[in-house]
Amino acid sequence: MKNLYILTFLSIFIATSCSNYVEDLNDDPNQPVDAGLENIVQGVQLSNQFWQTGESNRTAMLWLNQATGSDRQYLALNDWNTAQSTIFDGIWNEAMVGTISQAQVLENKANMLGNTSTLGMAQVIEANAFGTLTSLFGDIPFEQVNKYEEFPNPVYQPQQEVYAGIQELLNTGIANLTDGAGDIPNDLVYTGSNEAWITAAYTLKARYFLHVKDYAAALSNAQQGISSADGDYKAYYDTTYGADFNPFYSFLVYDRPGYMSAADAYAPKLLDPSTTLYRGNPKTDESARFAFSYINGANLYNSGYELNFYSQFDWEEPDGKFGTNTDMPLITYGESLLIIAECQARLNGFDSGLQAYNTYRALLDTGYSIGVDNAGYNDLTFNYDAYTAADFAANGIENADGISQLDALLREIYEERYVYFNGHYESFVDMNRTNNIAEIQLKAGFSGNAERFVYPQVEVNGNTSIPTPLPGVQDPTPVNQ
Amino acid sequence: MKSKYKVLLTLFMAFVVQLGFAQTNTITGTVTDDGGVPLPGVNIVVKGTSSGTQTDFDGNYSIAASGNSILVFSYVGFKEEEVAVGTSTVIDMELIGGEMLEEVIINALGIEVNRATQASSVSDVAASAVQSSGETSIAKGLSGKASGVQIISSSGDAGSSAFIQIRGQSTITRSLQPLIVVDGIPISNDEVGAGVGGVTQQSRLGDLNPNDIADVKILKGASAAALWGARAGNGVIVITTKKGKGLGKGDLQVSISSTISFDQTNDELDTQNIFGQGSNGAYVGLTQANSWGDKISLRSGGPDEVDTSSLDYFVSRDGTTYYPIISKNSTEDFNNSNYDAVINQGLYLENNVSLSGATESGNYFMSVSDLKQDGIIDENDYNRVSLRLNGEFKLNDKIKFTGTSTYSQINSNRIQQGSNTSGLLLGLYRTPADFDMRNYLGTRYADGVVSTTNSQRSYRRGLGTLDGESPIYNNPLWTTNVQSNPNTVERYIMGGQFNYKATDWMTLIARAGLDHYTDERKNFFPKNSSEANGSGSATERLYTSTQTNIDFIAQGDLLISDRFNFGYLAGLNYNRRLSETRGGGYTNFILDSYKFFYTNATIANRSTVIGESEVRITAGYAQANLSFDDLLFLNLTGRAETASTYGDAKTFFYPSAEVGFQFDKLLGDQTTLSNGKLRLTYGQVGIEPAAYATNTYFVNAQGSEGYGPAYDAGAYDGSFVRSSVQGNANLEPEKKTEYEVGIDLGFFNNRATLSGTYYYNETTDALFTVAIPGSTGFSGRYANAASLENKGFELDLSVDVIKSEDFVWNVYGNFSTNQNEVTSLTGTESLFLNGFTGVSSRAVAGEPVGVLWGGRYARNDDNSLALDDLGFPTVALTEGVLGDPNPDWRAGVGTSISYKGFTLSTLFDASVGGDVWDGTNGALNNFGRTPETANEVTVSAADAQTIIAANGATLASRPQAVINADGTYTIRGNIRDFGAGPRLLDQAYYTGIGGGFGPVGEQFIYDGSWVKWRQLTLSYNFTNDKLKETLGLKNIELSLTGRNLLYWSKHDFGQDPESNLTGASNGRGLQYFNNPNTRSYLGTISINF
Repeated sequence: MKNLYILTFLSIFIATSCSNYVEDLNDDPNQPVDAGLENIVQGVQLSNQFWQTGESNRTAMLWLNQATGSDRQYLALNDWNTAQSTIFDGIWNEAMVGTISQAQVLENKANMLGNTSTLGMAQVIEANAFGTLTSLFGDIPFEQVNKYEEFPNPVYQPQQEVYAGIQELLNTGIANLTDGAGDIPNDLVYTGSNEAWITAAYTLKARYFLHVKDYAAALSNAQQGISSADGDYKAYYDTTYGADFNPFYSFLVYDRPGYMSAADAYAPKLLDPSTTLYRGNPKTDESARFAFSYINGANLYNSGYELNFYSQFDWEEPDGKFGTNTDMPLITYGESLLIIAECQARLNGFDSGLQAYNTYRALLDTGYSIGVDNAGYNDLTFNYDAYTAADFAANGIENADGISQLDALLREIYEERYVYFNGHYESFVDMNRTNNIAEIQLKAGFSGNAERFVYPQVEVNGNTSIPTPLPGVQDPTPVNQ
Repeated sequence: MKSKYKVLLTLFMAFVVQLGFAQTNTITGTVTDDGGVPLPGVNIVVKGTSSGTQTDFDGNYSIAASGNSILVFSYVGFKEEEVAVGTSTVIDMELIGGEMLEEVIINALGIEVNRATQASSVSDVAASAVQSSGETSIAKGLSGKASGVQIISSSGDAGSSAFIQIRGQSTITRSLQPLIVVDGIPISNDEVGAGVGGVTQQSRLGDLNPNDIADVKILKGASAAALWGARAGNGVIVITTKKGKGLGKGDLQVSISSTISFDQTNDELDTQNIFGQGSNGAYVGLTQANSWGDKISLRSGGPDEVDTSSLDYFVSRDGTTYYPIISKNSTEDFNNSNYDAVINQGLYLENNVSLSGATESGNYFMSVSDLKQDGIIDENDYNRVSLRLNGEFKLNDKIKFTGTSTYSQINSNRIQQGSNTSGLLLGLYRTPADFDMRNYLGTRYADGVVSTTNSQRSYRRGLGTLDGESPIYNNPLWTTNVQSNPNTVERYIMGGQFNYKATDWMTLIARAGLDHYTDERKNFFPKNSSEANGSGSATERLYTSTQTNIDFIAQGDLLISDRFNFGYLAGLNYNRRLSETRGGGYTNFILDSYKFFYTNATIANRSTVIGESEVRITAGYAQANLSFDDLLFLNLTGRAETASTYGDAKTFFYPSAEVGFQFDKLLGDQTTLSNGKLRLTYGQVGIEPAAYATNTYFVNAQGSEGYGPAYDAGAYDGSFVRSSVQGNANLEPEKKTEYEVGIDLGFFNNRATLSGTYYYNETTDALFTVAIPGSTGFSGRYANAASLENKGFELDLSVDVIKSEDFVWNVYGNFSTNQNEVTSLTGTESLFLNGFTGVSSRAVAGEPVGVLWGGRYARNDDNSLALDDLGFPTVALTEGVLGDPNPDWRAGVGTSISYKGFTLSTLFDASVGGDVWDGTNGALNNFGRTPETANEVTVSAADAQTIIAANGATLASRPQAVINADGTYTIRGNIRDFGAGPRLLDQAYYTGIGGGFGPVGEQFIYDGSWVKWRQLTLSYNFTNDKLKETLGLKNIELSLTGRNLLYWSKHDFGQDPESNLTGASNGRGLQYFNNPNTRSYLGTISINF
């Protein structure tokens, strides 16, 4: 009898404890399932600035001879012909997942809340990310991005179509920012200034019109673009390793010391007054910009030039272009002026171009872009006097080989862009859009030149819509064909 | 002594008596265990009659039997023996203990069941085989001892993990480790944190003392493991620990054993000592990475010319001052002294004491063990103290309590290894032959004043590091002596069981087990380490795991008729696993202190982590055994299970069926074929999904690129974004279905046994994070999206070639093959499992799981290499499959010869056909450190003008080319023809496409086949009467063992191919500066009182 009681009790105990033993447990106690609009904003902005100043920028610098691979993997990487799909996985996923898709998540939230300011801001960043991707890879997925349930294999749209879509997105963004309902909370870039975002959006529009060689549209948008050094969109960095270090610095000094230098590179020689390639002349003194961009002969990791990774923080030296907490330019006043100069020259002739270019030179002459505070570097000399038409005439200081005045001006503008966009994707795009007007000398011994980035392995693996055969690194993207 | 006299007397008496009575004799004798200990209560029956008796407390017996009768000796826990009486009147019997009764085995739940009813293939490994292996962990001790079971150790580091794989991989991303069940309690065999760098981790199975185990059974087939449902997908290893036995009246049996082991590396990597540090044939010191310098033998000799007027210099701790070198004159070669400075003799000492005994109402076993191990690498140590108490108490005939408890404490210091600039071998192998690394610590002077006090001198910082400067690669001595990576593990395993024999046909069992461990780890990189650019970095983690397992079981047997037998088992199982990770770290030290304190960094440079996970399973299970006439057996099992990790708390059912046909019973004469059993099984088991994967979370906005740079919104204002991995509400366990057919044969009273099994299994709904293209908005989605299959054949053989009283010679062997294929992989072409960006181990549809994947040569349609304008190979745009790390077959062959007290045994095992990526030599090609790169070739003057190097320059124009007197050219490098004529492979080639940092991983894949002389043991067992009388000792056993004595590999890696960089993770076949494996010489003495 006693056994029966025990068994009955046991059965009841077991039966009742079974049912809810495993329920409602599978929610990670250490991860939230949602976040508010104000707490997503910086996530989108940080992702965008990270991949636009990261691994692939460095790769492009090697291929443009702005830098040199000096150790281990970076030795082979000097040759663009060794480029494989895997080296672009990181940038692709950070852009597509970290920036574009999160921007869309933010846009949905902003839409629901009626916050058109944040909506517009997110659209500008989304357009910027798409624009960079299409400029580097050519055809990319666009309309079907971030719709996994509907489109597990997003199709690759023609590059022209993508550029058009981006212009549309920017227009919508500008309209929303103009509408301006609500604030942009935690805005790392412009501390909630809708106007600043609008001008940045116009400069972006100008950049992408330039990519498709629509000079008129590029000119008019650039004229509405960023109009002062304060309006520059920069990637903001600080002094915590693994968290807010400038990715260049993190790579050059902390993560992979010595992998990348500028030994034998072309860009430092252009800026180094002691070389025969020096681009200075009686009106131009590049001493400060050279020192800001490159370290010469310090033998820290390699002999020869190094990228200037000095900083007050670790080195007690003035912050260099690639220093610990140096903010990296993404969309700038200088770019607006350079676009205007080029388009004026192309559309309205040499004189308009020269005048516009001199406006840009005047900006440089204030120390803009050659020191973290836009006032020069380390008390070194710099000079960017206005050029005259004679300087571009045959045998002028900017036309030793006697090409046409206009071509000489365009060559100078592009050489300037090559130096100005050191470490920025635009110098890579420029080279291929203009068939190297700037006459950049690439590294010797390798065939051809890098026309594009190779589609990443993650897409090769998982997206049945990927173009076949895969275009190689030397195949121009559609807008450059 | 007294009892021996008695025996002699009895013998004499019996002899006298026998003269008188020829028909029915009184047989007397003593029954002992194999250690000579008398066994009380042994049943002795005259076969075929009802007459029987039991031994008394001294193991003596007396029974009447006729000369043509057979005596059967049986005792629980010992092998049954039969002896024909013949003319003897004294029959002393030694029963073999330590093994389970032949008829009764432990099933997956740790419950004794009738062996004959089981038809699945089970590998039984004798505890003594594990204990005598010379390995300090149970897992490594299983190497080569069972078919279909592969053990791979991560390295020879003291206490390092080992990977156990049964019948190939049946999951892609979930753990590959079998479930470990000790005395019915599932325990953790976690290995937390294995990757391409860091330290070699321990597997938690290693916490157990191998000397405590009585038996290891490896349940390979799904049907045997089905009672564990979704935890049994990788098989189950059932371990039984020792019990007290054999004695009456609470006598105490004491065993003491001590082992000393001398360990050394079992291979040394060859590095070149012909050319020194430098580039393009010229010496460059101080920061130069490569050994592409001048030929050391051509230097002038004598001391180097140094700049003693320099204000930059380094003063080492022994007072030696290092100045910048003006002219490198010395021809000294430091290759060996550098190596010996960090890798030399290891040693371990293990002491065990156990106390055990039994009374009529119970038994107990208690042991204490202490293991102190110093690894072959300086400062690598592993210390394990373990305690065990097992006890069984019978209240009455119906009620029995069983308790088991273990405590282990591990204290260990590990060494950074692998792909890691703070790791040992990266620095050691890359250090040029002409750099003496021994003075690694000192004071750095800059501009004549002290700059850095604890400066690290390494080959790329020849004058020591300045503040905030990385040595780039650590000096290996800094890695071993200055950095520290201690861990402390505290492990408790406790179990209690209550048996209540409710009726003749039902026993109720309530069982609870608790397994808890904490693993406290620190990694400390002081200032001037390579980590964090020499700014100092420290991390700590506390891993806690608690597993609770409760079973309620009803079990019984019914004899339906003489020929039909029915056994059943039904139960309920509750399992809960709780794990936590807590810890933090700080970087950029304020003080150059070797102590661990968070305030030694600014708040921005401190970080914390937390991770908690709870998983629960509940299940009901039932088993029915039917046997007919001991001829046919049917075993049916079912388990219905639900778990917290499944989407929507679904319930899954895991069935299994086994049929056994004991066909030898049909034969009249069983002397030739003494055992014949045909086995057929079917079973389904599962593998659980990861916890918490049913939701899409929001995560801290952070990211990083492969090279290291990273961002984290926590350094700004904080931000959360949608996780890049999409949650999946429809998760199910992986389901593995296995079919097995096997045959067991025994010949000549089982003197020769042969067992063969063919199996086929398929895992469907295999889980992985499908790497979806970023354009979908996610980078991954966790889903049941793959299937894979394994099929293979296992053969085990044992022959007692000679078996006489004094001389036994046994030969045994095992052989297994396994073929694996990923049959489908939805949504992705390849799935990264572990490894590097360049070469990784992956799952690819249509290929075996774990295939090596990476960069390939570009090829033309006819498969010839696609060459560039210079005639050198080029790289394919996309990566692909490079090799298969899974061996085609594995085998072990051993023999053991016993003569009187001597036993000599040895074991060889082999693995044939698996590929290995030799990343070590690939990388060292880049640095000019491999012998291959130190070759010199001489060509004619004409050829020197036409043969070009990878950079397009002619051989003659290369700066390192030497013109000989006869006009020929000699140059360092190799000449190879890729299809466009001979080309020079020199620095330009090896630092580009021909080196390990280049994009072509394909060229470093080699056949990793090996044969190993695993073990040689000579032991002697003293059982001398004098010894017993004078010292009171029952026996003394001495043994000498050589472990991993030799190996032969098809390709000379310079490193044991039987190690894996990524430990017990799912990545295979990766060699990249793995810490070396070891060879050992051991001596053991065991004494029983």
